[in-house]
Amino acid sequence: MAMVSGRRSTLNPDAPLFIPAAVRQVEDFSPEWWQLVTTSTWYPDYWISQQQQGADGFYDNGENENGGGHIDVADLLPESFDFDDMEDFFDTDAAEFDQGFDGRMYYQAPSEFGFGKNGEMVKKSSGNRSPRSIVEPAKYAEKPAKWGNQRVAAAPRNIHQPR
Amino acid sequence: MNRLCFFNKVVKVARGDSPPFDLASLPPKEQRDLIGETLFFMVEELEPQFAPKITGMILELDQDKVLHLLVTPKAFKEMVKEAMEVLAHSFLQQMKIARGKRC
Repeated sequence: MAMVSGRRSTLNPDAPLFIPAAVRQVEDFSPEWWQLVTTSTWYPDYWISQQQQGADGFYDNGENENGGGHIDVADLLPESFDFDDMEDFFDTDAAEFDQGFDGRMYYQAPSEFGFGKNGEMVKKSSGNRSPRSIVEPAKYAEKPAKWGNQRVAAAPRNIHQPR
Repeated sequence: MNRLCFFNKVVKVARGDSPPFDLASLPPKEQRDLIGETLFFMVEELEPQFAPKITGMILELDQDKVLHLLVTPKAFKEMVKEAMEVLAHSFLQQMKIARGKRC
């Protein structure tokens, strides 16, 4: 029970929301849904919170990953790798072009020291590239959600405690 | 129209009239849902933004008390006002908790 101005109230502030049955049956993005979004003062917030609940699982996983030491590593890696990545990408294109153009060039690659080195770099970049390609979308997806949460969390604090 | 229909049914039941259907004969969950539907529309007129929350809070009270609120506008408005106060107080408490965690 919550204390309000010293008065004991039988109302529970943690009670679950009551959503009318008709509203619960509304399909997302249907005409009825749009009517609710545009005419109801509480429905847009309710709908967004439902979406966030669905997204929370993904965000939590992301947060756990970032929560560890990965944040620093993730921040550092892209900068250092971008230059190398571009270079490797260029070399990769060149290699593919050579292979397509002339089989001999491909056959001679192992014997040539410089090209062999490039070949190795290509392999490394390929290995490195795939994990990054997986990680980057997740990173971009996480940022907006995180920022949104921060904003929501920050606003009440600012109001409550101006600095 | 749907709202008025619900409200009339609940009012009749609460006032002891002989309605087309008997609220008491319904399973407890259906009773709660029916009362909740009517209560929700009434709360929405007073506090549109927090209607789902306030309705949920009031539905946790005794059913007799809830039915009484439905047919007593003055008591109903006071209950909604009290619910808003409880919510505001709870929100402030949560802010303090969040602040404590941050420090």
